[in-house]
Amino acid sequence: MTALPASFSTPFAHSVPDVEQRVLLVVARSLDRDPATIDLNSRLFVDLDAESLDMLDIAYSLERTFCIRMPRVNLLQRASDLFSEQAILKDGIVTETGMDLMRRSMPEIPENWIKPGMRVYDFRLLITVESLARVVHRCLEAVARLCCSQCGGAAVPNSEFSMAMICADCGHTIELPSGEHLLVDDLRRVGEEMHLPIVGEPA
Amino acid sequence: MIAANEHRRVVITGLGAVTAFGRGAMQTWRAIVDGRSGVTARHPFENSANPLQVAGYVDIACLEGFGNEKYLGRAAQFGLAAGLDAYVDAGLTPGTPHAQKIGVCLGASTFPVIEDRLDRLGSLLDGSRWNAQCYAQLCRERPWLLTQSDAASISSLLSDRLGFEGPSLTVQAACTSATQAIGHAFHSLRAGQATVMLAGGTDSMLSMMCVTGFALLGSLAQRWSSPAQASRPFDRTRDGFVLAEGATVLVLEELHHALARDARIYAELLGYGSSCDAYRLTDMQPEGRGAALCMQAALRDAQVLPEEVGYINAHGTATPLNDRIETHAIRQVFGSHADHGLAVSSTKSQLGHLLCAAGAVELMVTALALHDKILPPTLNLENPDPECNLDYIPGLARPAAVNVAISNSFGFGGQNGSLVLRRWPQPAEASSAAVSIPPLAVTRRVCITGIGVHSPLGFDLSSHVLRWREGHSGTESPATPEMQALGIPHAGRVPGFEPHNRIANRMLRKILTPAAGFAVAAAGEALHRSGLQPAEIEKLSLFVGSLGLDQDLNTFGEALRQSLEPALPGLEPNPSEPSASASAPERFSYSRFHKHGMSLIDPLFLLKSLPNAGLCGAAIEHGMQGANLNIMNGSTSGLIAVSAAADSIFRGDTPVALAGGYDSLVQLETVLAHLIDGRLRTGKEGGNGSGYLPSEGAAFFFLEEEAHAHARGAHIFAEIAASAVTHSPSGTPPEQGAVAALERAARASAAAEPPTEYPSCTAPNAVFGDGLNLAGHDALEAEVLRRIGCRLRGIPLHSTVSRLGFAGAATGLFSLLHAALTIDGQLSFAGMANPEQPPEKLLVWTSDRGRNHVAIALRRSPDTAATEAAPCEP
Repeated sequence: MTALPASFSTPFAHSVPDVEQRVLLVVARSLDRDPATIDLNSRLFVDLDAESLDMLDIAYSLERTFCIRMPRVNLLQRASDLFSEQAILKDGIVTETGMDLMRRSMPEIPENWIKPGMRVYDFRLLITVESLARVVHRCLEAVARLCCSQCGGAAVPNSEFSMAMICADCGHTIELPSGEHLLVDDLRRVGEEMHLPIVGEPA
Repeated sequence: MIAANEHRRVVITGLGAVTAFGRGAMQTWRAIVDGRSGVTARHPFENSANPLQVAGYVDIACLEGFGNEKYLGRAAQFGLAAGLDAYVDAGLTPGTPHAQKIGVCLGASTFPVIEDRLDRLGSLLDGSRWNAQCYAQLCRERPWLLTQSDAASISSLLSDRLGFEGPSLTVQAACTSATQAIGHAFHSLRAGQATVMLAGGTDSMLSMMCVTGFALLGSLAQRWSSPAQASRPFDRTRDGFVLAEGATVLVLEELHHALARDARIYAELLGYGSSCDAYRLTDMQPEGRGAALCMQAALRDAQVLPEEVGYINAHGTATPLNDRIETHAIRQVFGSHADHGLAVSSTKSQLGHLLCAAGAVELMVTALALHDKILPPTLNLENPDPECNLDYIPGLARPAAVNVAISNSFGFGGQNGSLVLRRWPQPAEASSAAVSIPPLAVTRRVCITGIGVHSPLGFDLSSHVLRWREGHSGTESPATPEMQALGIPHAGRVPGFEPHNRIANRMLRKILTPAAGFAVAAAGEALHRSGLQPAEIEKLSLFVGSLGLDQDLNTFGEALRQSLEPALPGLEPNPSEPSASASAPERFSYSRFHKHGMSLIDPLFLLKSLPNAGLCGAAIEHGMQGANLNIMNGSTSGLIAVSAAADSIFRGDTPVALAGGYDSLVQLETVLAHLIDGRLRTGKEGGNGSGYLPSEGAAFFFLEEEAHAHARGAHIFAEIAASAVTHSPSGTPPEQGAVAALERAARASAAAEPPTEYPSCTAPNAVFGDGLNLAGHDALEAEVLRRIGCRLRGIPLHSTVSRLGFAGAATGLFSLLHAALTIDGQLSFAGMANPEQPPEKLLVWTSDRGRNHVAIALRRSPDTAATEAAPCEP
């Protein structure tokens, strides 16, 4: 696989259209498609014939491209851990509450794609290029807010190690925010909006 | 007495196991019946700050008595212990006569182990790349680093210990390995090729890189509350499997042989079926097509009806997809019987997933369940899944007298296998042992009707033949930078291989290594040249001889580099270490690896190095769903795969099969293994005995029953008259086994001819052998040819190695290709009596360092002359 252009490694240039364009190129390259044939609304598993292995490859490429840590968990499973399985799933079918939670968590998805009778593993069928761009953007925002836990100094890219930051003042290593933690934080926020009680913590 | 044309019956007479429950088959069985879990949690690495890892660990102390084996890998130690125990349990003793009729067939894995290199990592890495010279130095100091990952040596070691001269085989079909090994051994016993086979599997993939690989693929259980509850097959909350290590070996024995010595019989092995999903590398086909096909094939092979089956030991990994699809496939095969009297359970709920050994331990559990009339449970099934709605025997073992049971295995890559067992009536019961077994049909003739090749001379048959005839050498490509650093200037590289032009499947282009890509493309060419109709391709059997490890160590270079931390202050550099810098060496840190390193590793690396990727890739690319076998026996793999394919046609299992193999000697560890053994030619000169240049490639053959070929007017290149596979245990002269293989092939090929005394009627016109340009191997080859009388008659030895280099498993296949084309009149060789008159008989053979030998006798089909086409002409 050819390397991405060097400019792609620059972590902080992240206007929304810029992120979207880069995500689209990563997806196109991973799925061996002409970028011109893909748009933000393309569904990876439905329109672009992605397999589960592609998602691993795409998440890895996005992490390396943007210097972030992507979440790799099923949103509905994490929601079941937080708000109880009964609230989200009944006999393997996503409940009304579960569907509401998905709509709020994935605002880029047209509402009518989330239909009654969905199963937990149908979740991935909804994922679009724009969904990935949203998650990448969320991770980049969290990176931009990082600061040193020791001296409060600014976090800057680490020239020796691409997958961590470094304190501009004291040189302390600053870990990248975990994508999974961000996802759980967002779920908590959505749960609050929906007045869903938290019953457990993700394992 | 058994008539020569009768199928033999096969029984299980010995069991040996090493699992998380300890050493000994009964130790494991008692724990299974008691409903215990063998899964525990540990801090696997030096630094306890690392997260807990749950797995079915084996306490190595249970192998007391294996103290001398400290340089053997864990899988080798488990496999040896289980094999020796099984042999003793069967009441057989070393030195048992008829060693030629006893063999070994084990499933085993070859994956990267980095651990024993970590203390020197600082000097092994140049930036993010491995320094070939420093690594060569380390491997010279620690020769076991390279032998530890040679999984094919485990079968050989066991054969050595017990003095067996029958085939000593290693099978690699990912998680189906052991089931496939047992199935293959079973078929060879039933056909009378052996009287006893030690069959099973061994595995230990708990090393840092293996665990990393499975974790990155997202295959492992993560949401567990206690280790014993981590493996939850068929439970709604399941989220992946739990890794485990261990081994199980079963003694499979021909029934009359067992009865004659009054052996205890655990169960009768009735049938084996295999299939390919031909769908995707990791996702199962959503309808469970491959899983259903292999259960149906096994039932057909066993001649039992679905309603007779009372118990299924499921693959049941506890991944969301597997358990749902396996359930669906069971419903397809068993219909309403699935809800009436069919119990299913997953032993992985107790032991975790033993990967290449899983099928063996699970078959053992199934046999003992029949024998002791108690069905093992599925633990941790507390939350019913509406899509997993069979009787899974939750929680507690269940007393039940079942007559027929199945054990299932489905592997990464889409290779599936099922074995069918029948309860053996105890002496007190009325004998119900009569089983109708179809007699072997009349002798069939097997011929080659399609050939495909990717070699250093080109990537199809036409260009290979053309360039060979023009006298080109394939070994003039510049070697890799690593090889050049080691003094190897040239190598035989397949020129300009471009997956985009050769492979249609997008995911295969992304995942396959170049070597596996050669296999997919060469298989496609052989298939295309055969002219077989698509409907027949779907059912086609596929036999592949694969390389062992195909792993570019530089895949981990960046991750390992980022896992180094400066040495503790005050630590002096090791003066013996060939480090360029005088400063204290950097030290590998597990916690840095976990925190930073892992995220830099390609999450698909484990799949990319699957040794069965060539077979699965070919099945996916070309849509082959039939029976299959992946042999991983070092350089003999390719010809053994062809021999097995020919056998399956001789037996009448199938009228057509695709067989071949691939190898590549360009990865650093492979190069080092050959270099340190003094086998690779270094420097520019290539004098006598100076060794060979490393090379790569693939060749595939379309094999077909002669009548089938005639019926569709196919061109016949040559007939495969017979083949033989043998092993030379250490302590016996290697030429003894080699002579036996050649003689057997030659004699068998003569059997259908007018009865003249051996060897005059069987003397081949030439032998296509190794010709490795190594003093020891060349002397072995010369001695073998002398003993079978070739020297007396001036029969020449022909080899492709001087012009194509040595391409491991592919070299034997290149010999077969050249021999077939010579018989077909398209190639000639130096020393041919009359270049205008193609030879009648040729022997093809190869030997793996004097351990394993395989010979194939080719002869000119009476109809070869009649067909006019010269299919390899451009």
